[in-house]
Order: sequence, then structure tokens, then C-alpha cells
Amino acid sequence: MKSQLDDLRDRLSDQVLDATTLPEIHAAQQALRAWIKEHPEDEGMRDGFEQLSLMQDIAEQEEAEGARSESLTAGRAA
Amino acid sequence: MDELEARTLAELQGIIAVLQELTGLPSRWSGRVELVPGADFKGKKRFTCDIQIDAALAERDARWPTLIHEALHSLSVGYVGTDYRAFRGWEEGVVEQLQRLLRPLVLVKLDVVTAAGAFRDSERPYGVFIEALETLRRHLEAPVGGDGATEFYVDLLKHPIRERPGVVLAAGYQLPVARRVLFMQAFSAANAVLTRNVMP
Repeated sequence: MKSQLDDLRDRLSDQVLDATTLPEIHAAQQALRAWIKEHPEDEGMRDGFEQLSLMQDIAEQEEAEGARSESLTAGRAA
Repeated sequence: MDELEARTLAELQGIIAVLQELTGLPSRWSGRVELVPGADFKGKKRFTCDIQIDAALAERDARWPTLIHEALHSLSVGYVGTDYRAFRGWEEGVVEQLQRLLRPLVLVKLDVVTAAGAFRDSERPYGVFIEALETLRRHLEAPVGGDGATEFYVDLLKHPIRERPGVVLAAGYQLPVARRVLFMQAFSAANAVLTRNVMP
């Protein structure tokens, strides 16, 4: 039978794996940091930082490209 | 470059040489490694093809699974941001399971001896991806055990990330009708986990 702690771990794991936007990624990073602080022996959960960091790179790149494209459109309109 | 960074670089070069030999796949690693002090992550293979490793982890035996995992990303075909995001379980699950399957052989080939219990493979977070992939592999009856399982995952690594669901689906279509129906049900559920299109 699953303990409450296992349930919490599963929910955090889902939050980490589902994060795609910058706010979701930052929230998941904070939650994962808090978990690792409370459970330093849980080395495996640290693997989640890899995916979050890669998703952050993708989201930041898209945001930068979006800003560039907006500024080009504004430049053409002016 | 300090001593630890030089050692990590040499270890990654060794691992990648062994993995290329075992899988027949070329690596796209840039040859650069950066040790990041106080990193949250253990390791990260950037889309620019550099590898970053947590500096504190690089000093411990526990670094080996991370080094092998990141080295496998460098062999993975179609490792680009947009496809990674859309099919992340098809990449992280494949790479992590291959890391677990190949690690003993890689360490033997590199003459690495570690303390017993130095590595503990975790059920979360990537364990959910591995469970989904293993369900599909069992339905396809890919041979059970070390070599058969390795073949299944190496074959997936050889296909671009975005094509991996199609590769498994095509294999499922080869099954006899009764088993194909069960496979299709399993595929829908597994693919939802692997692409994170799961219902809350």
C-alpha cells in the first residue's frame, strides 16, 4: 500500500514531468528543491532537474524568438 | 582546466567510445564538458551538444550512471528541443533504461570498480517512462533479458525521437489480430505517459 509520502512523491514527479511553460518550470523547480531539502537521501528525484533544465532552455529560446519576431513586425509596421 | 574537469572529460571520452562500439551509433557530443558548481541537475546534455555535470557529483562514484546517461543522449538520433518536448518520455525513458542495461558492461570495459551499492536506480521520475516502454516491449515480445531488451532500446535510439512511437506502432501491427487489439490499448495508455498527454 502506498504511503502519503509516496503519493506526494508521485504528484511531485508528475508536476516535474508535465512542466512546459516557464511559470510551470519555475514552480516545479522550487517544489523539487524543497523536496530534496527535506529528503536529501532521495537522489533519484534529482534526475527531474535535468528535464526541467532542458525544458527551460527550450521555453526561453521560444520566448526570445517570439520577442524577436514581434519586434520585426513592429519595425515593419512603423 | 582543473584536474577534476580533465578526469571527467577523459571518463566521458572513454564511455562514449565504448557506447559507440556497443550500439554502432556515432556520438554528436561537442567534446566539451563543463562542471557546474552547485547545480540542481546531476547532468545535462545541452541541445548545443555540450555536456554539463554537477561539480560535486563529479567527485563521487555515483557520477557513473549520470555520465553514461548523458553520453547516451549524444548518440540519440534527432535530439532537438522541439521533438524532445513533444516526446520526452520516448527520449528520457529510452536513454535511462539503456543506461541501466549497459552500465555493468560499460564499467567492466573501462575497468571501473565501484563500491557495492554505489548506484541506486530510482522509480521516479523517469521510472514512469521506463514502465510504459517495458509494457510495450512485453506486448511485442521483444526477447526478455539483457541482450533482447538492449536491442529493443538501441533500435529506438537509432530512430529520430519523433519517429519512435511510429516504430513501435508499426511493430505492433505485425502481431496476430487478437494480440494486436491488446497491444493497441496498451500503446494508447503508454504513449499518453511518454508524451505526457495524460488525463489529470
